[in-house]
Amino acid sequence: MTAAIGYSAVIVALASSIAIVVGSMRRRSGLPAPWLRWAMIGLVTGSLTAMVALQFALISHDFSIAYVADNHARSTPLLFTIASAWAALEGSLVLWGLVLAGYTWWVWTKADRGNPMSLGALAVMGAVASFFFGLLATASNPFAASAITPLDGVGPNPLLENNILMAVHPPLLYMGLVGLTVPFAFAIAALVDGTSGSAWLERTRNTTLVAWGFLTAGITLGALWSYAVLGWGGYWAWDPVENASFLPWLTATAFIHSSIVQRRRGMLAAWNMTLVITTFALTIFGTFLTRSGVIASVHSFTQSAVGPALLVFFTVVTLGSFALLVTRLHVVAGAPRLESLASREGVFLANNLLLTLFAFAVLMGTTYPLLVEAFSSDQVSVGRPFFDRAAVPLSLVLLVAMGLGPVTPYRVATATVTWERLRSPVRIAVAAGLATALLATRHWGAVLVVVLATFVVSSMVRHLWWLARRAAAGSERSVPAAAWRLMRRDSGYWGGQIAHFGVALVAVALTMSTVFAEKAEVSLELGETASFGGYELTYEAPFSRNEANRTVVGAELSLSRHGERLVTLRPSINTYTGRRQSVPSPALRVGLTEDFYVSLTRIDGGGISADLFRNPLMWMLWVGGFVIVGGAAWPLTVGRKEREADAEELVRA
Amino acid sequence: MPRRLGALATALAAVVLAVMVFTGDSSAGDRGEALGARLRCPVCQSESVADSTSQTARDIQSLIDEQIAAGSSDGEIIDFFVARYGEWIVLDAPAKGRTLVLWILPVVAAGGGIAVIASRRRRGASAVASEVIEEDRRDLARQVEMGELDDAAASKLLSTYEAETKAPPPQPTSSRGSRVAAGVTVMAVAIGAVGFAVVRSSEARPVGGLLTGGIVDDGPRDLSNVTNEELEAVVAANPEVIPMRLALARRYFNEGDFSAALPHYLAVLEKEADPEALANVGWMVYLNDSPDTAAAYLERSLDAAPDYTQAQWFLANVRLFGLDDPEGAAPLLRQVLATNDVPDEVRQEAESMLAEATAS
Amino acid sequence: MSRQVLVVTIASVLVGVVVMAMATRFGSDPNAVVSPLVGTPAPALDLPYLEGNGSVDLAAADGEILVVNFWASWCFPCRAEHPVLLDAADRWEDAGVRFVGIVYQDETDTASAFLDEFGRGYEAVTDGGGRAAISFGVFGIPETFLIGRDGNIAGVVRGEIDAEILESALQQLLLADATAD
Repeated sequence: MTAAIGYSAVIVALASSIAIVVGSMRRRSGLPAPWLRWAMIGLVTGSLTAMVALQFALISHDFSIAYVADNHARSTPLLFTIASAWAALEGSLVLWGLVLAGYTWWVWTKADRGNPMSLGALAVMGAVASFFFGLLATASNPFAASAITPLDGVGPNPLLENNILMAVHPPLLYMGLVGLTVPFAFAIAALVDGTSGSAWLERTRNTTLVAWGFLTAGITLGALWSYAVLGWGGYWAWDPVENASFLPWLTATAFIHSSIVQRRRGMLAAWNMTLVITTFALTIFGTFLTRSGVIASVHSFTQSAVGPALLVFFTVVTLGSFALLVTRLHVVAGAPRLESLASREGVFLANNLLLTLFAFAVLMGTTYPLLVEAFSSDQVSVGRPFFDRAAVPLSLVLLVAMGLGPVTPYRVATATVTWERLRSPVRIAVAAGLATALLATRHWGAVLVVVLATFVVSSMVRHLWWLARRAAAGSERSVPAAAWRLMRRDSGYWGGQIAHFGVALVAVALTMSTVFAEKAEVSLELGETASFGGYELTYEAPFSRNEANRTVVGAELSLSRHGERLVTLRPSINTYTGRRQSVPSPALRVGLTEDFYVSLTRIDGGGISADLFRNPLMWMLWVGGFVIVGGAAWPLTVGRKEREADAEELVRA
Repeated sequence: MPRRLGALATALAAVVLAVMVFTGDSSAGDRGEALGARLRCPVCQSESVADSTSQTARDIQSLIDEQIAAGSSDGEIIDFFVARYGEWIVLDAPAKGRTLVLWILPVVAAGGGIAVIASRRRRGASAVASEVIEEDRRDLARQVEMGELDDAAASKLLSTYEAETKAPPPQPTSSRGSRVAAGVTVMAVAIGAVGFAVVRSSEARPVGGLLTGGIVDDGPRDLSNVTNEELEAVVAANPEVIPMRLALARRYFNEGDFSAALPHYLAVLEKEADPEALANVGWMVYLNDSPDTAAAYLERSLDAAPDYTQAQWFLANVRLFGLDDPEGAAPLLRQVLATNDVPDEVRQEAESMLAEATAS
Repeated sequence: MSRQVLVVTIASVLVGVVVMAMATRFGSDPNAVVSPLVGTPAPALDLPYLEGNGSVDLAAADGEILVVNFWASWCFPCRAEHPVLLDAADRWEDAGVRFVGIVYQDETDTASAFLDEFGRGYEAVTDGGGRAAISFGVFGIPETFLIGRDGNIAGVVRGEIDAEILESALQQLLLADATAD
């Protein structure tokens, strides 16, 4: 019954998606079909019902559905039962469809109904939704029946069942990836319609920021999941699954920057189209890479007709959009209006070049083994060393651009003005570098990143201070009040600066945790103590407990430093009943200067073996990630009322 | 002058910092771990030996440390593992051989990107509307107020913009024909790629283990491309090998060359009571008009393998037509009919024989 | 043709090439890595018996065809393929085919318990420190190596072996011997 309702809901959503495409096509009246509203309601209800039905099937242990039998067990705790709905291929596509329906509804409520671009965008959204619900109705049906109805299922993948982050990370990631459909849809609509100019950018600015913010949050939580669950002491492995979400993030970041140039100066119109098409294509390509089984990876899903379908869809999306773009180039390609490379526009161009190169290198690294094998049947690997060597120099130059760009004037930057604005930040940065070299470390990477991050932050702080003092001089406001008002009024710019601040934090954290992380392997018998990096770790007692879905066997380890007892750590090895697979559950002590991280590799009567890590400044990575998200959210917190009040004040003044 | 002095002090501090950093300790740390980071853990996904916590990675790491202690160079150690696991195990994709292109392409892309940006200049007029000029005017005024531009530069820029609007709108740099041709090309590429992908996606993945190596290169897995003479030679060279002899005998049997098949089957039966050999010998004996002996062989075959359909079918035939024993044949025929993978013509024949057996 | 038109066209052709390259990967298993050891002499290893004293010297297996199988009690596919190997070891024994099972990352008692449950029929040896697995370039068990009479590795089966593959591989090895004479 649940299966029948769920599958019907998928069909309803599919039919509604097709209806949206038809109904949004322009008619003679210039208005959409009167029933378009019903198609919208159908899409949202259908996708929502499909998700609810899947959840219901999981919660009611309906093992007659293959998805439930393969990803759920009676003993699975409720939270992970809910999360199982997107822990495997079919369910994750249901979530994808639901999020897409949500964004389509948003576009519909914001659309002005007679506007051809809004309607065109709705048609594109409908077409994309048709593909995904088509997949759910055929190759990847989440409500397909089990061959035999087992009494109990095997439960979710233990790696996914081991931490609460699994419940949050995929939805956030999908809110990001799927949201990037919206700017793509408007770009295509603008191309089809033959509209030049940046109207499509104005309409999608907020959605792009929302999607990008979610994507950033999703990637950050993904790294946190990797750190907290996998027990290897790291957080980013350049795994294809990670790259699949990082690639669209890079091009979307480039797009957010270059769209500013187009809105302000009318430049880069064709380039923005290319970027937004590439970004959307990369979300599909990433999904293809991770879901088709062509690459083996941590959480790849298995081979099915979904892979070929995604590859075909990717081809149609990319090449169809390119064909459209090339035939409309005369509309979008304006003459360049660049006055000088030494200008804000010039730095934006450099930023775009760097981010695009970054994406290109990551894409090359991810797909290169496949390409080599396709053309020569030789098998090669591309891993961390390659990605690091490409990422480090590009990131360092990006940091320089990040300190320069926001204070460089548009059109032409004279040496005097630039130096005036950069003088103090450069001095502060060099001073910070000297302090680091004298007091902490002389490692070149660490010192360089401290210098650049300080440069970025002091440059933005100095600019805010300078602007606020100018503003305060002409009014009765205090300087801080003036600064706050500036940040609210020019919320796009200052949101960007907040994000830059987050990036500076992330850069420092990444460098420090890479350069100064330490690792040791120890074996301890009961009561024995090991020393590591100034800490003493004592194996106090073993413990074990049987939970409904797993057996937890662990060790109580007391951690002290210089004889002072800090905390008791309880790492464990969890064995999940259905899967017969053991997963380590690391324990860590989070500190201001460093995390102490311990992951068990063996525990038996003879004692324990464990991997110990000291990871410096890890908190800064997570905080930095969410400061970036805050930067994306900043402009969205400025409501219409605030903007109107501000405009009024400007008029009065 | 104090301003100059400040700049000088900053420059001096930067130089001191650079010297400190370059003379500082930036050693890569443990050599064994550095090597481990360059090798891919065989049982993991995209993890290096140094990063992985798996037992295999530990084994490899300890072997690396042993080889370092024995005085091996980095290159020798990497080669040691490449010889066993293939290029696959090298994680850091060296800038040579198969992975050279990987390094060249981003550098080429960077060069191309820089060239494109450097060549961007104001080219003639654009179809800017007058409102853009108004916006530019406001923008320029703000920039002058901020001290970013002086008046002269601003008015010069403004007059350029104004001149641009008066100029005739530029012709598109690309002709309609070339755009359409490009669009058609792109669509053709799309159709070709999609077609190719659809065809290739229909290929099934092999199941049940994957055999690699010289053996598969010799041809298909079965022996169908080996002549009878070659097989005879093999069997003669390996007189003790039963599966090979059975394969050869089966081949003769299916060809109807009973005189060639029989000696091989008998040779097999000397070694062991193989059900297939017993059944086929029984059938050959039956066709040679000795139903009693045939039945004995077939019954022995069924003793060895009670569910062997071919023997059931043969014995049913022998009993019904050779020994005139319909009651003995009927249960065998039912067993045959209960089997799933019976060819249709056998099934039809068995049904009519069963009808005949039960009727009498 | 303008530069932009050209760039978009070239980019599209590249995308097409990449798509086609990806499409060729559907039929292949990304986990199946071709072993560079095929055609080279098998590693000379002296491995102690799992049960009882003594050892097996792979290098001393002169003139025999060797089937070397890596297994462990924790490995599920190993349970499925064990009867296939037992059966083949029995039937091919007379032809001079010798089967050796190497226990991979397992405890002695659990490995013995596995044999108690699934049966014994050929030699089982242990691999201390995983050196044998590294020498053979093992990725993940089960893996089975076929070594010809000349002592060279003739083929590798990655993953659960099935009776048909093993049978035809052994036949071809014998065939190669016979036709070489």
